[in-house]
Amino acid sequence: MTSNPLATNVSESSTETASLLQAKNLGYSVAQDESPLVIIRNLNLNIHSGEQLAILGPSGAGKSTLLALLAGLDTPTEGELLWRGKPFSTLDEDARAAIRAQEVGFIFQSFQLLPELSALENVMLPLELKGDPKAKQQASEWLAKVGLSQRAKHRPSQLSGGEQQRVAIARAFVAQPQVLFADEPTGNLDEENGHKVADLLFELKANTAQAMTLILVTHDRQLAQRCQRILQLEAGQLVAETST
Amino acid sequence: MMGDLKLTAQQTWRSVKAGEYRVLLAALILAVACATLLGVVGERIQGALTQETARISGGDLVISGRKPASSELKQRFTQAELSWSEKVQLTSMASFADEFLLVSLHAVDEYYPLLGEVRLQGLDKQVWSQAKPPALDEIWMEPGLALRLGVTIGDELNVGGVNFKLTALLLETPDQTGGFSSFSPKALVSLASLEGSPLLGPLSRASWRLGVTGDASQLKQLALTLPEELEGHQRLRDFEESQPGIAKAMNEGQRYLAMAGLVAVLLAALAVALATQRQTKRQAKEVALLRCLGQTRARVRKLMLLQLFWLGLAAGLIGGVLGYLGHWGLIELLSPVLPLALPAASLKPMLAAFLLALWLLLGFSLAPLLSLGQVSPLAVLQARPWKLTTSAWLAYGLAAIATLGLGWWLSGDWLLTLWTLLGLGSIGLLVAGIGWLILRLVRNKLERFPWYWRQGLRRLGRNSTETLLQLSTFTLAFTAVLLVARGGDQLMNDWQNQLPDERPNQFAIDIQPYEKQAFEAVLDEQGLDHSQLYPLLRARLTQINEQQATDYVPAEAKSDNALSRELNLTWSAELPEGNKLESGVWWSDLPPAENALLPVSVESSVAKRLGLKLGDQLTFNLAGSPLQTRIVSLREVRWESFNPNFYVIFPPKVLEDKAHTFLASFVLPKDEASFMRNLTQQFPSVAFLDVRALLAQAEGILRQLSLGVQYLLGFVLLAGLLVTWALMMASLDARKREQVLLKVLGASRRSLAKRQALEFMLLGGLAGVLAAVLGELLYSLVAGKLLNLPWSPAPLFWLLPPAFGALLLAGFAHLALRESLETPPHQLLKELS
Repeated sequence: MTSNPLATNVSESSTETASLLQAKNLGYSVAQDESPLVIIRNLNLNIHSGEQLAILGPSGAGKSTLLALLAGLDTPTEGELLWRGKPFSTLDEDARAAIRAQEVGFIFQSFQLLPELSALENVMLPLELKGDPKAKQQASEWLAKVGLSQRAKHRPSQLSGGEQQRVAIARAFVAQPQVLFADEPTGNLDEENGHKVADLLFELKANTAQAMTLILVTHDRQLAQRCQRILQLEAGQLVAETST
Repeated sequence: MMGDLKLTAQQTWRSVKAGEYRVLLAALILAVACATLLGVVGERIQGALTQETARISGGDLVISGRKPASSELKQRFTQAELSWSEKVQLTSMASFADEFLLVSLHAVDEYYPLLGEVRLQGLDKQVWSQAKPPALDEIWMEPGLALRLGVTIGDELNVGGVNFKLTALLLETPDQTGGFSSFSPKALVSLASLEGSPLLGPLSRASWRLGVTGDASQLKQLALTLPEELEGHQRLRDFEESQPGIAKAMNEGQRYLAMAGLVAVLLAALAVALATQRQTKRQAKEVALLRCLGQTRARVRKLMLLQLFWLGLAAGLIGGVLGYLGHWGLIELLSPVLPLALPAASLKPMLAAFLLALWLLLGFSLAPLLSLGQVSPLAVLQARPWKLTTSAWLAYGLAAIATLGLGWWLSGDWLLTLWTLLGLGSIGLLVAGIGWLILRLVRNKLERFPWYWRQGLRRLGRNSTETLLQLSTFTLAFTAVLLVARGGDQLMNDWQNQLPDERPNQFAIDIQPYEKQAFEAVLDEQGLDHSQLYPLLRARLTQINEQQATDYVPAEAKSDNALSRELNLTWSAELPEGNKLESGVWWSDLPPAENALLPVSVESSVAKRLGLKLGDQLTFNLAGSPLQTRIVSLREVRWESFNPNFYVIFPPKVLEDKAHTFLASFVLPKDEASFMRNLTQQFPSVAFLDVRALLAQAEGILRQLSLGVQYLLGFVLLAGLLVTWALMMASLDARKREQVLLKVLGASRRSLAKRQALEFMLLGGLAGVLAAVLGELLYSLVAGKLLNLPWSPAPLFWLLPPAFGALLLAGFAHLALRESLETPPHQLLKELS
């Protein structure tokens, strides 16, 4: 294991040609009464295809905001973000949404399942939005992969937290995204369930045919260490990068 | 597009299955069902009433005149494939043996009756109906007339110099015009029988009527163009003129039905608006997720709009079918009193119902839906709920347009819509103001209350905007229901009073002055309820303000009955029962100086038709001598009272030396046929007019309307309950969260249930009190201005709403939150997360 104590520009040396996502002097602040509140400051980062990257940091470090910026859910107030070498953050919302629809999957801390849909229907949703005629078949297969075939017709409120997150993982994988963003995927689960979900997540990632990139935000060091690379975030700045 | 249609159809169906759109769908379905029911029933009942009206009037269009209608006019109707029938009405002397009596002779053509059937009685008391006129030289006469003349079926008698054979007794004719105004017993003959008779000669005072019926659109067109083509002596008659009592009740009833229906649909629309707001809040999460999954704002909006479309379609179809089925319930209810088969229902109201569902959804949901576009995909990463900001102008503007359009669409009456909406809107604002004041007053005195009260009041005070909104909406819903119930109750009471059980059903005419006391004594001895005996004189109105009456009056009144035949006059010291002074003064208040010309009191509707006002001079021709008078008062007459009523009343004494007879009405019980025979024998010169058939017709129409009122009231109540439920559901999530928190902090189920019951009882009780006060105020305005109903106190309507409101809200709250009270907190937290 190597560790780089340098706070910034830790990935500057990485080759830009193979990078999937590149952040250049990224900054994000929100207006406040007197002075703006800076959440992310002067951040540089390169993420490569197929990589497993963990962003680690305490609460309030700006992890989720960074994830939102990288996924194009929000736009930086400073700096630039490149997606496959092309400007990403300057694209309009619809263009960013189109990239998300084609290439991105999400797993959220609070699962974000639609309460009125069954487990199966929740998993089907991304495929149905693409008009995939085999949505049901594929969703059933992924539900089986996460071990919830028997719970296909149950609604989220009838499932435990661990089961809900497994449904959310199946929903994220079913569309076979190029990049998977996971925001504190075990944050709402107890230790045992957290381990199970994490095992499932990495197992599925390992078994996917294509080189899926995993970007994981967590404050759980153990979980972070299952990734190839760990970026330590504090007060909106990268303070360390670790390779495992 | 097809893919999105399918996708949204699936999504909508899944959400519906999960109970997500329950309240919204119920509100929409109710609104559509009410509108469909109103539309279909309105169309069919209106059709039936029009038929009934036409039957009573003798045609959908009736042209009256002093001469027969031209053959060109009749040919025109024939070419337009319209049916027509002509009859002539005149007064003539009937004689049999030594008996002579004045009769109202109706001579009808071969197409009579144009609508309905004539009811006859034969020799062996056998009764039958037929749609054919009497044969040549045959006569049918009312039983009372036959009795007085002493003729029996098969006898030959003479009327106006023509011999007829009595072949049946006339029990009822479908066309009842002139039942009260002619005051002469009726006989029916064929028009052909009078050919060549002096009765129809140039000097005849006959009144001709041509009834026309057929395709409604053709008739409507004719009604617009015909007046210009008529000859000077002819005019188109309307129902109001020939049957003022029934016409008034029908107008009131139809306005009320329109108002009740409008309120029901508006309440359901309010429930739609409330449910939509809740739905939008709940959909914010779905939108954020869709945005995360890479859907553009435009596509998200499209998907949401398509979901609305599916909801609208489903509600339109279900509501339309339910409304259609519901209308059969109403028709079934009315069937015993519907005299004619109802015209078939068209599918137009069903189509309108579908459009209504989309209209409501768009009007109330478009602004919140557009605001969903603001939801950032970031919302899914943030624990806090996403606050939606909708342009108030857009939201309220669209809602106002939707509501106004809806009101106009349903009632077709801007005035009614505006009054209803303004009334309900002002109540909302006023109630919010009163509620705010009460919350402020209570806030500083909380410590004086026990724990449950404190908690309940704190909850109400803490969310003051939500509380005031709820209070206003509950009050509004209660007020609307009260208004409709109050109006319905008053309307039915009013009708009931017009048609009391013991109402006069016989008129006695031509009572000679020397018979007056004896006649009254006989009625009193028998214990029959009777009116006072009114003196009766006949005179023709010849001049108005020293001009020929026909020259003076407006063009459309030149052939008015009041000018074309003799008027029935009376004198009376007191203002007769059922009469109300509209303007001017009664004799007792008349200054002496104003007695220069003979003062008269004129009925206000005839004054309006003839363009008469206070102070105008009227000259009557009374038995050949002119009688100059001046109008000192105008009277509103309740024609629906079925008491003797008069267009012109004189003060007492001035006409007592002129030839006159007396007139009275009395109540003849069902089993008193022998009394009538004795009375006829005892007073052979007195004519009796049996108006039971006419009363039954009027009663039938009023009963139809009363039942309609009650049926619609059921829908209004349902809509009111739905609004209450929708509002309860709108605050359900927040209340559940609060309950979890209190449970976690150690509150027992019992204490939570008490606190919850108290909070809603306070809210419901206050809404009930305010609704009772405001509903009464609003009703006093609406009753007079829109429904022409009198105001009278109704303590039940003041006492019930507070108790009902408190119990209803506490009950609903118990139902809505019962599950969450029973559910363990951790499970509830999971559901709400």
